[in-house]
Formats: sequence, structure tokens, C-alpha cells
Amino acid sequence: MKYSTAILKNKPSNTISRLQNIVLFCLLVVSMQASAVDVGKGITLSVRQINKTFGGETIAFWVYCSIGGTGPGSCANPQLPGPLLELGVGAQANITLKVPMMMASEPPPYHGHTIHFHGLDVSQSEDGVPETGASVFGDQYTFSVDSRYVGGHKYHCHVHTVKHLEMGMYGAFVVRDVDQQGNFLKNINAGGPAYDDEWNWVLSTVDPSYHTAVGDSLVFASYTPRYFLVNGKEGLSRSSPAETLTSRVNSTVAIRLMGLHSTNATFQILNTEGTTQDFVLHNMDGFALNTPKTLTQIEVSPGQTKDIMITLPVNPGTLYPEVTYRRLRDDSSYSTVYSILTFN
Amino acid sequence: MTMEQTNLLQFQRIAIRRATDALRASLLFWPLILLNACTSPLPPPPPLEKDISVTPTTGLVTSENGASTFFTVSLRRQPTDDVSIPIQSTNEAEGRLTKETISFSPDNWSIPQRIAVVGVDDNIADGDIRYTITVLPAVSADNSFNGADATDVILTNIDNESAPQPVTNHVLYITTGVIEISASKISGNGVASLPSWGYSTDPTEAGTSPGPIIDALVGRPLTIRVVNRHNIAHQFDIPGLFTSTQTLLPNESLQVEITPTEAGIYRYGDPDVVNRSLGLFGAIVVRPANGSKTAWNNGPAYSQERNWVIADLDETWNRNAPAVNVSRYNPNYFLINGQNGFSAKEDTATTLKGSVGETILVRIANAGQYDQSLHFHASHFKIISQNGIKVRDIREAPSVTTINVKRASTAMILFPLAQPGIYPVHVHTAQMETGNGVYLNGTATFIIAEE
Repeated sequence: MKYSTAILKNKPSNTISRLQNIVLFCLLVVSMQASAVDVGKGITLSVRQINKTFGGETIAFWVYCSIGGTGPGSCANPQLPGPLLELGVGAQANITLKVPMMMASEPPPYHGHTIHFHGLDVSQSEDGVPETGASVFGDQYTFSVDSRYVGGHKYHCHVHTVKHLEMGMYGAFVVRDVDQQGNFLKNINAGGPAYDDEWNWVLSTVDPSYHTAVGDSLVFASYTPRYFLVNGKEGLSRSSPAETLTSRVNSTVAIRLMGLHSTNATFQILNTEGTTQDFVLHNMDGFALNTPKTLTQIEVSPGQTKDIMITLPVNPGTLYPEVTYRRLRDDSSYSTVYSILTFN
Repeated sequence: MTMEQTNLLQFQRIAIRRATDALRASLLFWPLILLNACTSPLPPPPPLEKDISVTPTTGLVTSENGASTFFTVSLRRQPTDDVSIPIQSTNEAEGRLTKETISFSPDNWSIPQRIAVVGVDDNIADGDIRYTITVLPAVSADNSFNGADATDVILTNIDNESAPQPVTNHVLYITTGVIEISASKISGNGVASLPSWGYSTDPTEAGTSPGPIIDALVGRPLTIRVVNRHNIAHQFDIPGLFTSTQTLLPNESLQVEITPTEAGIYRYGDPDVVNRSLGLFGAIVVRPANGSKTAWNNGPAYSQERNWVIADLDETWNRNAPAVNVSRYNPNYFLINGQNGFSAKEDTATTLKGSVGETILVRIANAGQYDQSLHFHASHFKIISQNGIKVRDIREAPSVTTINVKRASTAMILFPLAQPGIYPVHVHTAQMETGNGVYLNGTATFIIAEE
């Protein structure tokens, strides 16, 4: 058994690489005007360290960012989680990860970074796993997916995952249904029901001690999460929600729940009276269910993705989607992250 | 000078010959004019394979018991004329099609068509046979589809002549043992010896945790004599198959006589959660009455099987047993078949190793106190059973890459070896990826798929 298979990708020639870089740069200037990045047009990611403050405690995070532009998620304005990546069915993703020598990292043997495209079933050479041959000093990832993958997925670093995932090296990856011209469609899955608005939620938890420990530390032998996030925000109450979305009455909203946390979690939507609302589960880990399920609560465990849709009432009002993080041993509650969905 | 699509990025050398003339000028400048490029008409693009979608193309299984499977063919865009796609089996002695041609029209092109493949029986112990459904080039008056050659489908027909008959009388001795934790292949850290309680089949040998896998058949009586060779009292049960309130004092024994009625995996052990956490658990695997390689009678077929008993362990409990602090449980080891990750990645009974096109049935029993959210790289897989509740229509089985096997529960999945390579399976939960903080030494193993 080899733990470092010597599988090397066919790298482009220098000439082609230079041309691609020029093209990539041009594309990035355009793509970074939007918050989501179409990786079918090419993207270069890097990693930055940022500090975030929760409960008066300042914690260092490592986050992916896109090179070029100044918008949220760019390396000029890095965010937790990293930028939303999207890819149309049939298009080829072309993602370059640059890992400069001075980048925030750990000492060997857990140095450097990769990208693992969680749920996309990519080949070994694109899998981002150092133990099976992935480069940790920068890499280029190319792959395409078929229509089965239309839905929510994730990406994250697969170097010393117990540490690097906790540090914030993750983001949402959405595969889009496309029309004959390759334009993105607002379908929950391939040929599936259309939605009007979408919300992508990255679920994560924070144990501050993990952010200072390195290597095979005893710190990583137990996990005591202190902060509970949706899209990098705490949302401790409805008056201080993690997320807000304004939609329209009688419209449909797709919510993709992407589990990058390390506890159990449940999702539900309440109305102002505290009554749970029906929603429909369409996809699990980015694959369509044969028969969608109508539910009032759903579990999202670490590594899972669930794509749901809700049809909003015909009269204006407010709903309260929320995630409750729970203990692995007995499902008792740690904390709830609140959000607000208004419709006019 | 001609530039083609295949050499656009290559430099071309242009030779300029010196010419003689009658002029006396020593230096003469002259222009070299590059005229406007012109392009020759491009031939029509060849039909694209991706215009015809075939899913899945690997991992399908039929069986000699007659179990069938299906794949789906669909068009990605509307044709201007009828499209016929011939299909054929490369080995009709193993798998046969229910139709020979798939037909789409401009009116029904958007409706995917399911193609059934039925396993063919024989009376020969010939093992599991791989075969292919060849999807031949499409025939259509629409030139953009005519000749489009979609991906073929690889299947395996499972033999039904060679199933072994399991032993029906077992003895389990409750005793003590040691769990050896091996070093990380990355850092060299992590070696440990952890005292444990366990089961053995020989009174002179140490117990193992988990105890031995016990094989059984639906409808066939099974007897297990449980003998307590430990120094404190214990109990024994098999959730879903056998319950008992009898307390076994040291050197007492208990006779379990059961006749399983449903195929699947069942966890046996001490019903006391503390005793279970200290190592007293194992699994019984119940197969269909005819011993066929199907998950249950007339259930989905598979070509290989694995049984995973996963658990968590708090080292301080094991080192101080039986004097444990029940209110404080902080597991720092997470094991699969009693092994840390770097051992499990080399254990052929645990790794998902086989040839591309095979389907592996993985039966999972979580004997621990923590939920374990297992993530598989390389391919989506089907969840066909959770806690004994089976998905009767395989089409309704969700395709996922992660399954949360709750504490003290069971599950069965069908994992297709869909692409070649080596890929990890691991828990996606912080500390559970480690063994006492040592990375990848928690619940983890490898998928190893060969061409």
C-alpha cells in the first residue's frame, strides 16, 4: 500500500499556461463583479488569514479568496466562508490554487493547502487529498460534471482536515442546470422545479483551541465548540440574524444547507407564531431524490448537503429559518443560529 | 502558411532566401507583408457524446437469481428528427436486455428512458462475471446526432452457485483484551495499547473488540452460548433479534436461540452503555435464505461485501474500568473494526477494494455513543437500509456521499466502484478524524478501485 501515489497531472506547457493566465485574468476582472464565481470561466484562488471576533474573542481564520477584483471573497476583501463557486453542467471547471511560500499554513508534515471538491466525485488527481498524491504547494483542478450533480456541494482544504477545515478553509459549490446555450437556470436539480430566489448556507462551528494548535496535538483529541455559525455569522437572535433574505409573496425559495460543521445540526422554519412550516427536500449531497419529501425539520450532519425549497405564503409576512447545533452523543442543543426571511 | 486547430500555439519558422541583384547599395530595407488571414470553411462538428446521456455507466449489478437493474438514457437537447440508439449485451449468457433499440423523437426527446437488464442464471459455479451493455452509435437524419456514440455500461452478474453455509452454533466468552493502535504513516505518532473488554471464541485467548462477526441465514436457527469469563456481571442482547434481562455472574452462561427473519446487520453485546463502551460489542450478519449475494431476499445485488463495526472509546474509561466517571465521557479514539485509521487502510476486510464496475454492499453497525458521519470520496452511493428499515424500491434509495450512522444504530449501503484510483473514507467530524489527536488515525479507510 502506498500512501503517496506518484500520480502527476499533465500540466500545460509554459506557453499555454501563460496564455491561460492572460485569459484567466481577463475573465476574473469580469467575474469578480458578482459575488458568485463561475469556475467554468476559470478562477485563481489563494488563501489569506483574517481575524474574526466572536463573543469578544478574536480568532484567526484561514480563508480561500479569489485573486483579482475587490469584492467580497476576493483576496483584497477575504471572507468567511470563501467565495461561492458555481459551475454549469457540461462546462469544464478550471481552478488554480496558488500557495505562496509565506502563506498561512502549518509546519510539516501538514504544510500547504489543497482544494477538495466535496460531493463532486472527481478523479483521484483532482481530489485534493495529499495522502493520495495531491500537491500541497499549489495546483490546478480541472473537471466537469453531468446533470446528476445539479445542486449544492462544497469545497474545502484536505490537508490535516481536522485543523484546516476548522480554520475556515471552506465554501459553497453549486452546480447549475443550464439551457442549450449554457446559460444558468434556476432549477433545484436538472430539469427539476424552478425557484425564484436562492440562499446558500454554509454551516460551521468553532472551537477556538483548534485555531492555535498545530500538528498531532492532543487538542485535536476532543472538540468543544464555542461558536456556531451560518455563513460565518453567529445569528444569536432574531434581532441579530445571521442571514436575511427579502423575497416576494407566493414565490419559491431554494435553501442549500452545506454541512461543514463538527456537530449534529437540525434545520427548520418557523412562522411568527412559532409553528414549523412545511418545506420540500429535493436533493441530498447534490443528487436529486427520486421522490421529493415534505418535511418540517431536517438533520444536516457533518459533510452532508441538503437542498430544500419552500413556497412562501400569499400574504406578506416573515418566516424564521434556523439551524440548531446539537451534541453528537445525545442530540441535546448547543445553540441556535437565527435568520429572517421576509416576503412582500 | 497554414495554421490548424491542432497547432495554433506552435511557432512556425518562415525561411527567407537571399536574392542577388545588380544594385550596388550595401544595405537595403524591404517590407515583408503579412496579408490578412483567411479561414477555410470548417467541417460540421462531430456529434457530441454528451448530447446522449447514459447514467449510471458503472456499478450496476444483476444476479443469477434473476435480479435486474436498469440504466437511463436521455438526450440533452431536442433533435430535428428521430434518433435510434441500438444497444446490445456483450454476454447474453450473463445479462440480457429487454429491448434492442432506444428510440427518441422530436416530441418525446425530453423524457429519459429506463433500460432494464436482467441477470441470467446457469448451473455453474462460475463466480461473478463482468459484462458490458454496448451503446452503439446513434442513427438519425439529424446529422448532429447521427453517429453520436454514448458511453457503454459495465455490469456484473452475481453467481448463485457458490454460497458457503455458515456455522450455526457459536460460543462467545466475555473476557478482556487489548486494542493496539498503530502509528500514523504521515507523522509516525500515535502508537498505543488500550486495555479493553471483548469477546473471544476460545476460552484461552484474549477477547477482541468488536467480537467476531457471526454469520447467519434467514430462516435458519442460530445458537449462541455466551459465557462470562470476566470478573463482574454482564448481560447480553441483540437489538432486533434477541432481548434478555438475565444477569450473567462470573462463570455463568446464557443460551441464545434465534431464527432470523430479516437479512441485515445486527449489533450484539452488553446492553449496558458503559460495558458496551468498554468493548463488549460485535455484529451478526444475516444473509438471505438462499445465501445469494443480495442485500435481502429479492433485494439489490452486489458483487462484494464488507462489514464495518464502528465505535468510539474514551481511553480514561478503559484504563480505569470498571470505575468510570459516567458523567464525563470524552472519546479520544474512533475505530473501524477495532482498528485505527492507518491500520484499517491496509485491512482487506475493511477497505473497499475491487475492480471498477463492481458494487460493494457495506453493512455498518455503530456500537459507540457518538454519531459518526461517514464521508466517501470517489462516488455517490445508495443508502438501502437504516436501523433495519429497508428501502424496498431501490429507486427511492437516496444517492449520497455522506451517511450519518447514529449511535447504537445500523445501516447498509451499496457503494459502486465507479472510477479507478485510491480515495479515502473518513468521518467528517473534527476530532473523530484523529486517534488521540493524531490525524487520519480515527475512523477511516480507503477505497481502492482498479481498472
